[in-house]
Amino acid sequence: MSEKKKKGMTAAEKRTAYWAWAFVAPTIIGLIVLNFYPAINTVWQSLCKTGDFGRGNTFVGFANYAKVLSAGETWQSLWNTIKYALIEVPFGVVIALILAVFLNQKLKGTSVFRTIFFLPMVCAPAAVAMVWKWLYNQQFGLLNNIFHTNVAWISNPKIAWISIAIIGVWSVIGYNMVLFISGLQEIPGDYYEAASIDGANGVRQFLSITVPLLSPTTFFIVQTRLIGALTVFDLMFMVMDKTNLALQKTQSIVYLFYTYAFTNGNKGYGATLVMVLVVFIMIVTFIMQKAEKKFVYYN
Amino acid sequence: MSIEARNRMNKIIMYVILVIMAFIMLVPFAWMILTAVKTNQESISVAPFYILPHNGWHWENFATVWKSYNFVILYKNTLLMIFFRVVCACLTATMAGYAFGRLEFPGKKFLFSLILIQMMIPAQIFIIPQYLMVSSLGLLNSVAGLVFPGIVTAFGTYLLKTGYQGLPKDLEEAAGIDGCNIGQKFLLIMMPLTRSAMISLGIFTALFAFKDLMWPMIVCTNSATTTLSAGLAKMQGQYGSDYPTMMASAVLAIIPMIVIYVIFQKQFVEGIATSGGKL
Amino acid sequence: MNLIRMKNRIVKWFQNERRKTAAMTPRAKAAYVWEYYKVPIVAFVSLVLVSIYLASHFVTAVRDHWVYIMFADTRAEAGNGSELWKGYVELTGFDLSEKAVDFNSEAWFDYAKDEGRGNRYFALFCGLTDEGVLDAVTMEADSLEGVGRSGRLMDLRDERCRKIYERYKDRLIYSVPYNTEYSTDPVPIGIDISDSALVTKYHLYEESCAIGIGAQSTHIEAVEQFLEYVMCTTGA
Repeated sequence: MSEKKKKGMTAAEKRTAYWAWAFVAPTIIGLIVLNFYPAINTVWQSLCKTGDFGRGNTFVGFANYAKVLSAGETWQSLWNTIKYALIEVPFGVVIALILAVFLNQKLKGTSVFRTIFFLPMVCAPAAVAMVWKWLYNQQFGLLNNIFHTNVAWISNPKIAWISIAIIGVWSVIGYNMVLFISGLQEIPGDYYEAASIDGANGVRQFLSITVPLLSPTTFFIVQTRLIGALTVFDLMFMVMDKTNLALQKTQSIVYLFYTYAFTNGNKGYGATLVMVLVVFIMIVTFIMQKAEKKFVYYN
Repeated sequence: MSIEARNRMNKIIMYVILVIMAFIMLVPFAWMILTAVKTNQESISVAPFYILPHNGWHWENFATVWKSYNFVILYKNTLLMIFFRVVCACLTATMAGYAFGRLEFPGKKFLFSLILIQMMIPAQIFIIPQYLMVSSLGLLNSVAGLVFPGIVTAFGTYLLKTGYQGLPKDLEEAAGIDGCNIGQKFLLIMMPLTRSAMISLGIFTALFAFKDLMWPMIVCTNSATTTLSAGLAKMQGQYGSDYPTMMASAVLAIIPMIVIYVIFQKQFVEGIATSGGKL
Repeated sequence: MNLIRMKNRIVKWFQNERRKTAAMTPRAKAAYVWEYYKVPIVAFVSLVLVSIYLASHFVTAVRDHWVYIMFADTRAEAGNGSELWKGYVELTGFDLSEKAVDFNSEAWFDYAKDEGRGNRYFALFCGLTDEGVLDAVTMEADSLEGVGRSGRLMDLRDERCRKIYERYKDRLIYSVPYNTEYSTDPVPIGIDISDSALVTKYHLYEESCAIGIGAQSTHIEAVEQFLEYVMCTTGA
């Protein structure tokens, strides 16, 4: 901060600034040490050619970027990631919102339901993968048996990405729901009472009170889930085998990063993929922050 | 239709939707238990597919697992890690969240963008550098080492920033008149009001800490210092594809997590009586 | 300037509090202080305790390694404190208070089966190797051949491990690199030690056993000693 600007602040503003800096200091220092220092290391790696078999790294400038950006694989996986996010985020948010509104009523048994919806989040990933693999199994799976179809849910490149995204929606519902319930808690009850007296019905109340007053929470969920969906990884290898024909058309960009950085030992190339992803998410986030001013209501 | 009848109708519809969703969400959990009581052969058989155990319910699988691993130590380590991570995360995040949500200060935009950027970077790249830090601090195989990467949280800061932003403006102004400084205002007025956001942060921190597998596996090479999830991964490694054993241990592992959630969520929804809406 | 003002403010605050509590009994005073300042007090005390804890760890930490060897995909006990470990420490006479000898046998990934895809132990192996922490790794020969393709194991023709290369020339294991710029021919990355004590005496592996050296390893002499140790104790 420049000296000029400092002088331009009033005493009260200065005091506020001191308090604020003191408050953010632990978090910011922690993040710099724990996260930004490794991140800068990654930036450096993306500019290097990884030395293998005992040779050291060599600086190559933007050669990795040229390679990554000209590979069709990169764009395919980025597109796969976007497609995944386009299903996971809207469906996950809407379903969770509806459930949260239901569970915020004076209904019997809400705490039991809340616990049940939370369960998938604590289940062992192996159990989740087993269940979904069985559901999707072409010969013996429940889905094909119920609908009397013979669909290759996770090995047909045309539909595999949808099947994966459905698992994604299923696994984030509980997460989004907890956040929505906590947001709903902060809406004062008298707003609803006033609206009831005016004769507004449930749907009207939902649209005119819940939606605007919940918009900060909704924005937060959409923003964090969007980032989460764009960095999706675990889900992919949980369900997809490496021999799966649809892998090309479903693998996310982090999955591709994993393949290069870990399996192939090409860390420089992997780091470059991460950089491409981060830049992409930054652009999306920037757009969202602009949209926040328009659509989000803060009292 | 009278209002009474309409309300009833609404309630029934809500229950039907909730029950269907609950059923869908319960499937993997039920699956874990069903697999845990099968024999190994049944658990992997697909051609005649068994939903229920065919050769009797082998509840003794749980006892076998319980005996062969020291769950008490694993529970203890996990709970300690969760406790410290929750305390640290809530403390740092509530302070930073208040500053970002409520105060104006130079550098705010830039510093907040750091928070967002942290969330964008795939977590895989942090692990090895963090391991080297913990190792040079001499904290391998200790609770402090387990807690280390969870001291601060970008997610939590953002969450609580949203929480603070949602509070009415006039509150703070009223407090300002009474001669409170910012610290007092924060501590006595603002922080208690974001309780539900704090509790949801607590739940998520606990959940992420519980599910975190990679970190405990790296920093604790010793089975007396490791956590449940890492201990389970070890069992998976040792038992290979013995699914009943794996699932029995997984069920035993998630019990404390469910208890934590039930306790937390009771706090969390206490406000419902005063603020619940009607539909 | 600012500091003086800050000091004045603190003094004023302190006097103010003193005035308020002047008439109280010590007990009430303590209750008052606790009531209004419990959060800062608790925070401060825990901060101090944590700092002491971290500082003591920092001072007494053993930071460096004599050697770090990973025994992948074995069910036998070969970690620190095991028979295998004890024998090695005894043989080499390494001073453990100075640096650590780390044997890690908790790494289950069967590379030959699934390329370690999504396996966290494999990710750990990669990280440790890339950072130069890991000095050597053992696994079944076909797995080692697969791992070697990524360039994470040292090319044994390298100057640094010439001694090992000379000595175990007839036992080399080769793999073809993913990186075709490095070489399109097989590169020697491992040594077959299926007849070593690891198999015959400690039963880490059943079929075969091979050892590779981490590409960034700086403790090659210690690995050499390890090799001697497991090869010589055969049948002993």
